[in-house]
Amino acid sequence: MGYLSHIIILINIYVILCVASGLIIGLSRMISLGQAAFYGIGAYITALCIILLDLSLIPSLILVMLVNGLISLLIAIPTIRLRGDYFILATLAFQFIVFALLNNLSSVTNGSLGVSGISPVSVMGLGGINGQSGFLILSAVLAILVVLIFYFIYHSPYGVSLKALREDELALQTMGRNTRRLKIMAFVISSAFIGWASYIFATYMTYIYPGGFHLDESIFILIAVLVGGSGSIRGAIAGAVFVILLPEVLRYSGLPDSIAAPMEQIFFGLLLILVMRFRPNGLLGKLKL
Amino acid sequence: MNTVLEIKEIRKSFAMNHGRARVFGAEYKNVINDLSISLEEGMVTSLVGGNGEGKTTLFNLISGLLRPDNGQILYVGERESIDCILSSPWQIARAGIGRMFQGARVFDELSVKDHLLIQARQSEGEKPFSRMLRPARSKKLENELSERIYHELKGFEEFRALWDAADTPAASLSFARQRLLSLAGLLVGGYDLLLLDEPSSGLSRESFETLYKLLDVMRERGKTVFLIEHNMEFIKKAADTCHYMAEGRIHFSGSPEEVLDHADVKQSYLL
Repeated sequence: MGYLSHIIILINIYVILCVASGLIIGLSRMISLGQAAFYGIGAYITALCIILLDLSLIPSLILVMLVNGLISLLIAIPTIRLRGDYFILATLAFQFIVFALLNNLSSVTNGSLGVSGISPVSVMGLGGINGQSGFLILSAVLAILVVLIFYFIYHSPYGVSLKALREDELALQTMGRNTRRLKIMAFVISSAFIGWASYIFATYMTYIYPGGFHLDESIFILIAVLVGGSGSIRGAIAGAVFVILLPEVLRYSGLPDSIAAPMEQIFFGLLLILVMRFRPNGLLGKLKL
Repeated sequence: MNTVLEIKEIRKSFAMNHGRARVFGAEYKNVINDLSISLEEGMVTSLVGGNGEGKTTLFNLISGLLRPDNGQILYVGERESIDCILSSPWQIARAGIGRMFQGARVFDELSVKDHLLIQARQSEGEKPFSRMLRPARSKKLENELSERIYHELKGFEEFRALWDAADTPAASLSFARQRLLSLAGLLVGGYDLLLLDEPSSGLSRESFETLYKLLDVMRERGKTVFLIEHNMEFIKKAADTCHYMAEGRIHFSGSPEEVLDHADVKQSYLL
């Protein structure tokens, strides 16, 4: 039971990460390799909220969203007009900068040792959430909320415009849309909600360290969104479930650990290549003829 | 007669070093050479000329997709007057200049309805959380827009047929119907000046009637149309004035018959 609920909590965290990232990576086709950086910033802000400010659940979630949103706005303003590969490089640079800061700004982040002792969530009037069943419920509720919120965004006039933007940005501009603004908004919304995943992760693990927010994590998110089916929420959820379950399947496949770990990376890499080659819209995406 | 668009001595050159950094000795090709032209309100003005003479470049300059090296492009619209050189494409569109591209340039994955809604909405109520926080209002706005689109399109048999297939993704429409979709979008977009790049190409004879009718409707409403065309018959029937463009400038202007009967034009079109 403990193992199963642990996996489900991780899936819930990844559903939030992937659905939120899907808005920019999938729907607007701005490939970002900096998603783990926002995940990490959110986690450290969570630690700050709980250890230093002693905030309860809702104020912490709001504060994490605000900080993530603000930082992503500052990143988006200069980088969002970059196209294609250049945007990927800019977000990659951001990923490395954040990772280096988390690792080396020891006076603030405690360096590579990380921050421990993030006490369980306190909900006003309900006492504390701790234990796996508590986190199972909390993560499920937040994941469902994120899915609902993004469902509405995808199906709003704004979402339709983002979809149009992915296909032909110039044509959309000649229809009176400030595409730069549309993209900045998507970037900020996506990063803000990633903060929720950070919050669950930090409080559930009670310990965070920079290694958890490495480029690998960004790549996992990217793979989950693209493999699942970019441009749809269903696809992002499927991708999240997939990247969490695959290592577990390999773990039980009977391979020795020394082979299973690199196998996982090889498998993800191979999968990404095959999907991009044969199903560029993702496994659950529409097949383009 | 009011002048809607005033273009004065614009020049545009492209570096011929095939995308490499501009260095000393790069060759430049002048695509637009001190071109001046003005458009009168409520008129259909056509632009003719051979391929590669800079017609589409001129349209890109007007709609803000390219910047001229020098010169002036002023738009005096009903809603606002702007300097096209200093404005972004979206600002120019919002000031009332609509654009139809060459070929079929539609958003493949969007449905016919979404296309028309994007044009009709003009970013009104286009907020990320509108659907969630104010569902009733958002739905009402969409219904009003659909109503307006239907009202605009119902006079045109072919546009109405498009609207009847509103949920079809644009990618699965035929080339001609994709072009019709672009035209219908410009109609519902409520623009004051339309830039049409070869509107008749790829259309059938029946669709020509739709196009004539669209131009008539625009004229009736006092809107202005500027079009690039190669179809002589179409120009003679649809346009009020005609300009012949070669080597990046307007060589002569006049009524469609005058211009099309000119020896140079006949030569460039091998008539």
